[in-house]
Amino acid sequence: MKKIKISVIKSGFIYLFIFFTIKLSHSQTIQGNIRDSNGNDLTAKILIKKFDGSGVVNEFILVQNGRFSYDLKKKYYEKGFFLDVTATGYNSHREIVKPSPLKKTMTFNFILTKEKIEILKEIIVRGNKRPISIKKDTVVYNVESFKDGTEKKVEDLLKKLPGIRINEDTGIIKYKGTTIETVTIEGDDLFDYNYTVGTKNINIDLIKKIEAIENYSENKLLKDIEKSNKVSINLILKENKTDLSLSTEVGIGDFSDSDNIPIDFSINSLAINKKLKSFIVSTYNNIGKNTSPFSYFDGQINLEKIKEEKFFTEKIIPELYLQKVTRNNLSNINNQIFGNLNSIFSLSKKTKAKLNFYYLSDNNKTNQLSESRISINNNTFNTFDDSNFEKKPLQYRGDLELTFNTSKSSLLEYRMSIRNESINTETSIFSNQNNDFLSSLQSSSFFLKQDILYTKKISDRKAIQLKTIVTTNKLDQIFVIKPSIFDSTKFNQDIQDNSSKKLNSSFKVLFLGKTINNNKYSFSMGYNYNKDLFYSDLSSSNNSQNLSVPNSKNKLDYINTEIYNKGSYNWGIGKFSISTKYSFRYLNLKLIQGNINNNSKILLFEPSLNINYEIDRTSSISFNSNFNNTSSALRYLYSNQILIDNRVLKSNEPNLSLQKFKSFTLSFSKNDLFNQFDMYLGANYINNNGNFFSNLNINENSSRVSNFFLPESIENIAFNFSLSKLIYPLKTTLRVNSDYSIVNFKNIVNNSALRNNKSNFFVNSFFFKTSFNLPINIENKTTYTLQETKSIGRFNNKSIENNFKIILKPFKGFSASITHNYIIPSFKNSSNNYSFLSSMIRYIPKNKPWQLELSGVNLLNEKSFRQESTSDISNNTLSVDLIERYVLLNFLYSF
Amino acid sequence: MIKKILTLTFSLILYSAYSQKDSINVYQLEYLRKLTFEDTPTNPYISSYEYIKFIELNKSIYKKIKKNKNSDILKRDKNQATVVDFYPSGKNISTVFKNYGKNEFYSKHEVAYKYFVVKDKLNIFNWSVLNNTKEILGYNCQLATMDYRGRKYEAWFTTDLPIGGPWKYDGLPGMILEIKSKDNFIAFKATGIKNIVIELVNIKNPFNLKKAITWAEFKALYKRKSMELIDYRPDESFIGVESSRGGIELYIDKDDKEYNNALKKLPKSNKN
Repeated sequence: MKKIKISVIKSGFIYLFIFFTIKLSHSQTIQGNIRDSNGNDLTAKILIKKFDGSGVVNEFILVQNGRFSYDLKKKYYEKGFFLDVTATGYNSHREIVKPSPLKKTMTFNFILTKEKIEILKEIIVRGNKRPISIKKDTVVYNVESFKDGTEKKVEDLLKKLPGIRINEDTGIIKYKGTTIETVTIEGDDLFDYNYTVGTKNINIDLIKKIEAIENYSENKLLKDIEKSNKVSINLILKENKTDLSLSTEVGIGDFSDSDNIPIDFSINSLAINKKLKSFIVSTYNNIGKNTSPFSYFDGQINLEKIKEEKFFTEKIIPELYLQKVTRNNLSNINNQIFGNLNSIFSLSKKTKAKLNFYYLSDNNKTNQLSESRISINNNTFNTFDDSNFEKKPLQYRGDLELTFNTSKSSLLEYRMSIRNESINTETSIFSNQNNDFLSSLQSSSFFLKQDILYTKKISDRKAIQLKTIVTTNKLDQIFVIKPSIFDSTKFNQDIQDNSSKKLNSSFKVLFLGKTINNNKYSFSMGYNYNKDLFYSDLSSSNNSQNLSVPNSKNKLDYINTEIYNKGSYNWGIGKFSISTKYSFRYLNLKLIQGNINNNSKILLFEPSLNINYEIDRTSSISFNSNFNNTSSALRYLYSNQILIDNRVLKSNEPNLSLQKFKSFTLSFSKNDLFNQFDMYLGANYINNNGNFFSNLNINENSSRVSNFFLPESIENIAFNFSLSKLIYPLKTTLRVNSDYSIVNFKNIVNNSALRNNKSNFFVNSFFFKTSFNLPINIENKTTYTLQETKSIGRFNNKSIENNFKIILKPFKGFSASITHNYIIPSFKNSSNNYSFLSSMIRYIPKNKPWQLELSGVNLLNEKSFRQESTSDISNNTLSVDLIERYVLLNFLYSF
Repeated sequence: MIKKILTLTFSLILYSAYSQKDSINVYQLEYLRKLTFEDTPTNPYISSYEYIKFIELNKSIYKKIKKNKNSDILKRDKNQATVVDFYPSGKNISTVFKNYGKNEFYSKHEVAYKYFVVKDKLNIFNWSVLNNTKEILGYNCQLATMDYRGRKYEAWFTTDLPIGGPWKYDGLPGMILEIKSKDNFIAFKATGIKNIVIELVNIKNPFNLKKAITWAEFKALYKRKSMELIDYRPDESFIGVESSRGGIELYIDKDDKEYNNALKKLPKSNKN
């Protein structure tokens, strides 16, 4: 219509003719008004129907405020039609329009009379209703949308998902700041806490979707009943990959200097069917990679260790650990073989069995040079140890889990884990001491854990759990050093022989529930029994005799029993969510050492409070406070000396007093995607009353440390700040991070009075990353670190590190990156700096089962890396050997 | 597609106890909404909604039915007066308020986790009525079709009930008892109908209209923010955030060149 009218105005006669023709053949207008008997305009509808008895509406007019004008779309002049005029609350009116010669416009004036309101009998009609099934706690990531072709394993992609962070060192995954419990495959928990086996080894090609599940309960019966801050990640496989998939990767290359060949090999299989889910992986490499969830190289504590720490006896003689150098982990000169099998079988409808086996062996050979410049009481001296290590960890482990769904509302689970681990470290030491030494440390550990868990869901809002755990850990450590550090003329070796055993058993009844307002609560009672047995002996020997070193025999029994009652309650009140917890513990500590029998009984009350206030959708404030007490660890309880290495002898003045902790955290966070602005501001204060402090006697050749307890309080404070913002016109995102912490501690050094020491740690970083619409993008991060320890003297170190990366995507299938790390470990000696260059080119052809990757690592061939640190008495440097320059060609094939 | 929606609460409680009471006809319809995503065709998201039309007031409210709660928004208070409790709260941003008298409706839309009240006209639906009929819940219904914001729809409406429909859908000469998009993405089906008379003075628009924007303004803003998010990289591993092109309705047109160009920066874009 409009068009035609415009045309008419534009140009003349012919169009005018067409206009009329169209009007005549197609259009008939009905117009008019609808009023009530008082002349008020009505809102009504007019239904246009034919006389065909069907009652179907052919056209309709919705009338606003009485008036209408409508061009009929269909033709009615042959058979006629009728109009049904209805308005709510009024009697309807039917107007019949008989077949008649065509009128261009028909005008109607309808008057509707008010209807007597008659209430329809309450009609309730219901159709078939399906259960409501909304995945409200789950965020689903579509894998394809996040892939940019540079990722091989699940971990590589997880890093890129918004909200997910992965700790580079431990592999621990966090979702929105919360450490995830596990990674499941199609809902089944194959790996438990050792999920890094899966994330480090499963090919991303197999995965279709990744789900982050909040309020995760490993126990399905407790879903929505337990207050769960738990998060898990679920991997959903591509449909065609659900049967069996095998993949292998072979990487072979060339070291620049040595005759060895760098090798990176792995083969894995993922099988999934109705009866069985399994993932098997075996790997070998000598390029510093760790494909296992265990860390024998840098001593990082994985999630399982954190959860199971209380079941393990402490290693009084620490193992050798090295610092990590660059993301390629250049200081890990290794030879790792890792094998792992995880499977879940459905034995029957109600019974499932899970098996996990692990095997790991490694051989780390390295050189480490440690130097210290020590200043005490106007007395300054230097020490150094140039050590060659060969460390061989070996682990065998088997886990079994049986799950019985005894009924729809109850579940019985049994778990068992058997682990055998030995670590052998051979060291040759050249130092400022009078002699060169050869030493060996053999640590052998056996661990057995069994637990039974019974869960009964009483109603939709209540559940009860019974849990019992029994564990045994046996640890032997034998440290041998040649010649004797006490008298090398008489004895050709010293032997430190430690053996310890830890028995733990516990029983717990836990009651969980939620109120009508969905406030969740829990209440538990139980007991814990823990017994540590420790024996140690230090002797010097030669070919003919073996003489115990005086004051070096330890034999102690440490029994820690508690009966407790714990409870928690969580409210959601408007924008506040408040969570409170309490615990009453009756603690009985017993220490029997020689003829001395110490006993301490105490009733403890430990409350905690967590308040979260949501200011708006993007920002919140949270406050956290905690009170707790910890009993002395074994390492503070043996009274006679133990030889730790070629210098250090340790002993304690045992004390059963508790350490009391009060902790307060206040934080503000803002996550504003609308303005692409993130901010976090946090402060933490810890007050620790009662602590073990060290009394150190140190000289060029040896150190004697004796720990003693003082009921004094010390304070630690930490601040964190981070901010990120996109500068859209520059297509660049900036981020600033700043962490500042102050740690206080006390000690006695070389018969001084009790010293007050303060350590400040200040880390600042600036980061940017571009998002140009080009095949090239860059990112850069500069980190400045200041470490300062104030005592009687002041020791500080400033260092800077810059990481620069170029990412290239020249054409489809190809991706490449060049990474450069520049490090000045100390400003005092800025000529001592390090440059690490690495590069990677990857080719992924489309729809082919293979991929190729060429990488070059440590291209500038840095031979060693030196890091500096400070303590309250010294400046220290530690230099480690690095993996030499290598190039590696990886070929990946999936069957 | 459906964003993880954060909590936003606003509420309106109307008491009629102290005002002059008028009898008002109320039609209360329950709908089952089914969202079916392409990748999980066998696992649709199903939830319940209610549409309430206040006949004499010529207004309607549409909102999600809360599980586990006495969700009737119409309640009797102690004095036997009707209280309209209206909480379009929590994650539920699917509330729609229609004012038939003014020919307007209001809904809430999200841009990068920020909510905006969007004002629309009720005459945007270009229905074609067809002759097919079927019975739904005992009502004779007739088929109508339309193209609406990126999807084609089929709806079944009955002229025996007042004008109205679930969510935004409206503009037929009766109640829409069933509507679904031809691509199967979204479907509504009435599962219950109730007609009662209550005493009520008025019902207010629950939305805050101070910052209300039009549909065109919303679309422009959504596109601008989506393009900015593509370039957001707050740390090493970030590769940008891709926003959905729309939800039930299309926000960014499929042939929007500027946006499609920006999308190329992302590794592989969703094809929605």
